[in-house]
Amino acid sequence: MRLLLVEDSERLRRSLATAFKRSGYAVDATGDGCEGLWLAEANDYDVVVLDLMLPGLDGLAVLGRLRARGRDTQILLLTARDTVEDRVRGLREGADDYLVKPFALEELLARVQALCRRSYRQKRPRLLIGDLELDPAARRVRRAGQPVELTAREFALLEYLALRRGTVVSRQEIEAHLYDDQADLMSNVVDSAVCVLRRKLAAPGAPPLIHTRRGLGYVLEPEAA
Amino acid sequence: MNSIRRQLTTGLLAGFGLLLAGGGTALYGFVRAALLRELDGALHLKAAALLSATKQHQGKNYGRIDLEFRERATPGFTVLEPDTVFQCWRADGTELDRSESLGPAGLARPGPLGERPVFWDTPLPGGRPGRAAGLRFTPRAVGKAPPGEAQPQQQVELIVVVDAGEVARALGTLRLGLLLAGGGVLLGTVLLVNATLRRGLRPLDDMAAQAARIEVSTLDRPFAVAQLPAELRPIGARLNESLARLAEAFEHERRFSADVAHELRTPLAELRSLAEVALRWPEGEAARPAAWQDVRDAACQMEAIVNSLLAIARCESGRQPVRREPVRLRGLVEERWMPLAAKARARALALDCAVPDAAMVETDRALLGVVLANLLANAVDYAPERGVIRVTADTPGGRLHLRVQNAVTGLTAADVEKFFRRFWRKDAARTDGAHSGLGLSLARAAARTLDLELTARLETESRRTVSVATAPVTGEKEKAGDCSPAS
Repeated sequence: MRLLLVEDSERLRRSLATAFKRSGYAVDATGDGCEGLWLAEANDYDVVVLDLMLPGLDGLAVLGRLRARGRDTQILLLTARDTVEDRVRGLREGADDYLVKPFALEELLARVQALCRRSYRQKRPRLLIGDLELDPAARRVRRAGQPVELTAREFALLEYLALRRGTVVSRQEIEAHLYDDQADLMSNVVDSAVCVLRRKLAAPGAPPLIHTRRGLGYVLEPEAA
Repeated sequence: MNSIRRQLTTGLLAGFGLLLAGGGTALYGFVRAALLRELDGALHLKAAALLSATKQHQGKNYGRIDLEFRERATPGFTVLEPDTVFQCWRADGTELDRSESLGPAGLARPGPLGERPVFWDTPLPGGRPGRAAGLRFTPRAVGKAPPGEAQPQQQVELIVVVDAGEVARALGTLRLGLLLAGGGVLLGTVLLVNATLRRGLRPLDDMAAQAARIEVSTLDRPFAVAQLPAELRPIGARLNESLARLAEAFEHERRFSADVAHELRTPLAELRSLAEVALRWPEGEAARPAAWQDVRDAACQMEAIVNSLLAIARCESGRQPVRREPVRLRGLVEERWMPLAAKARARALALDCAVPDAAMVETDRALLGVVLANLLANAVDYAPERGVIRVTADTPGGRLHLRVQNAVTGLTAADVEKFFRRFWRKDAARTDGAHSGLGLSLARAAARTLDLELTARLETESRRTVSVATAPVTGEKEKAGDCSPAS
C-alpha cells in the first residue's frame, strides 16, 4: 500500500514515515501543502494522511481541491484541532477519517489500514483466498495452516494482490502502490518480488496462488481462470 | 423573601386602608355631629318651651313655682311611647315635676347643671336611645311681690330627654355603609394594586427571567434596552456591558485554552510517536541518537511554551517582583543583542543602535531585558535578510521612548493589531516549532509590569516600529551616536 504523509512538523513527519515504512507501506512525505497536493494528484495513493495547518496551502484546501478534481483517495486528517466544528468541517469537506493529535500510533496504523481496506471495498479484517489466510493487522500469513514468514515489502505485495484478488494487476500498478519515490526501481524488481513471494507461498501438493498473465501482469486466485 | 411586589402591595394597601379608615371616621364624625347638632337644637327648643311654662309666684303663694305644662296636649310628650320626657327639680333638690311616662325611676342628673344647656346621651324609659339636655334657670316671676319682700330668685334644674333612635339608626346605617363601602373599596384596591403591580413589574419579571436563562452559550443575547422602562434601562445597559465583557473573557479564555492545547498537542504527538516507534521497532533508527535529539527538541519546545505562559501569568497577576535600579539603556540593548548576534549574522542583519550612552532609566533590569530580548529576537527572526534593525531613543516630555525598527514583508495593519495576541503568528501553519507566538505577549506583559507602554505600528508597507515608552530618564541625554552591532 502506498501512502502520502503531509505533515509540517518535521519530527512528527519523520517518525510517522518510519512507522508506516516499518509497517510495510510505501510512504511519500512532505511538509508543504502545495507539494502535498501535487503529489496526491500525480500519484495513485491508497491513503493520504493530511495535516490541516500547513504552509503553502492548508489541509482543508488540499482536501477540497482533490475532491473537486474527482480524486477519491482515502484521506485521513491528522490535526491538533479538536473541536466538534473542526471535525465536522473536515469530514464534510470530504475527509474519510479524522484523528486528533496526540494519538496512539497503534490507532493511526489501524485507521490507515481500515482506509486501505475500504479503498478496495474489503470489510473483513482477514483475507481468505483458498487455503491462504492473510491477517493484515497482525501481519501474519498462513498457507494450508502453516505460517509463512514474509518481509514487510513481500507482505505488502501479497496484501495488494489479495485485495485485488481475481483481477490482473499490472507491474506498473504494483510499482505505483508498493514503492515510494525514494525507491530505486530496477526493471525487474516487481518480477523478482513476485518470484520470491511465490517460492515462500509454495506448499507441497498445493496449487500455485499467483499466476502470470503474459504482457498484462499478475493475478492472485486459488485456481487459474 | 424580600419581594418588591409584596412590599409595594403591603405598603399600598396599608396606606390606602389607613386613608380609607381615616376618611370614613372623619365622615362619620362629621355626619354624627351634624345630626346631633340638629337634634340638640330641637331639644333646646323643647327645653325652652318647658322653661317658659315654669312660673314663680310673687304675690299670693309667694315663692311657689308652677309648671304650667300640659304634657298630654303636647306632641311627643305621650305616656305610652313618649318621644320626649322631662323632669325638673327645685334648688333644694326636691322634684318639681316630671313626665308621667317616666315612672318612679326618674332621670339621672349628670351633676350640677349650669345656665348654659348641656347635652348628653341617655336612654329613654324602655331602653330606647335618647338625647338629654339639662340646664338650670330662674323661672319667670308672676304677680307683684309683697312690699318689703325681695323678688323670689329660686332656680330650677330641668332635664329634657328626646328620642334619638332615628339619629342612632341613621348613624348605624352610615357606619354599615361606610364599612361596606370601605371593604369594597379595599378589595377593589387589592385587585387593582395587584393588577397594576403585575403589569408595572412585568419588565422586571421578564428581565429576571432572561437573567435566569443566561448561560455561557447565551452570553451573546443582550437585554433589549430600548424596550425596557426608563427605570430599568441603566440596569439593562450595565448588564449588557457586563455580559459583553463576560463573553469576551469567555471567548478569550476559550481561545487561549484552545491555543495552549493546540500548541502543546503537536510536540506531544511528536514525543508520543517517537516513543511508540522506538518501542515498536527498537532496533530501528527511531532508537538512535538522532531520535533522542528530536525528543529533546520537542520537550524544549513545550518547556519554552510553558515557561512563557508562566512568565506572562506572573506578570499579569502582579506576582512578578520588580527591583528597580538605574539601568544604562544602551548597555542593556547590547547585552540582549549578544545571544542573537550569530543568528543575525547568518541572516546578514545588522544592528544600528542609536541609543545615547548616558541614557539611564530607573527600572527592573531583568524585566526590561525580557522586553528588549523579545523585540530584538522578533526583529532578527522576521526582518528580511541583509537588513538593518535600528534601535533609537528620544525623550519627549522627560520620558525615554525606545524604538526598534526593522523592515518587514507581507505584513498588514491588521496583522500589527494582533502582534501582542498570544499564540498569534502570521503563518497560521505554525510549522516552525521554534516560535510559539508568545514572545511579544510576554514582552507586553513584562512592560506593563514596569508601567511601560509597548506599542507597534506599521510605518509603511515595508517598515514597522515597535516602541517602548520607558520610565523617566535618570541620566543626562547625550547626542545619539551609532554603535556597531555588538556581534
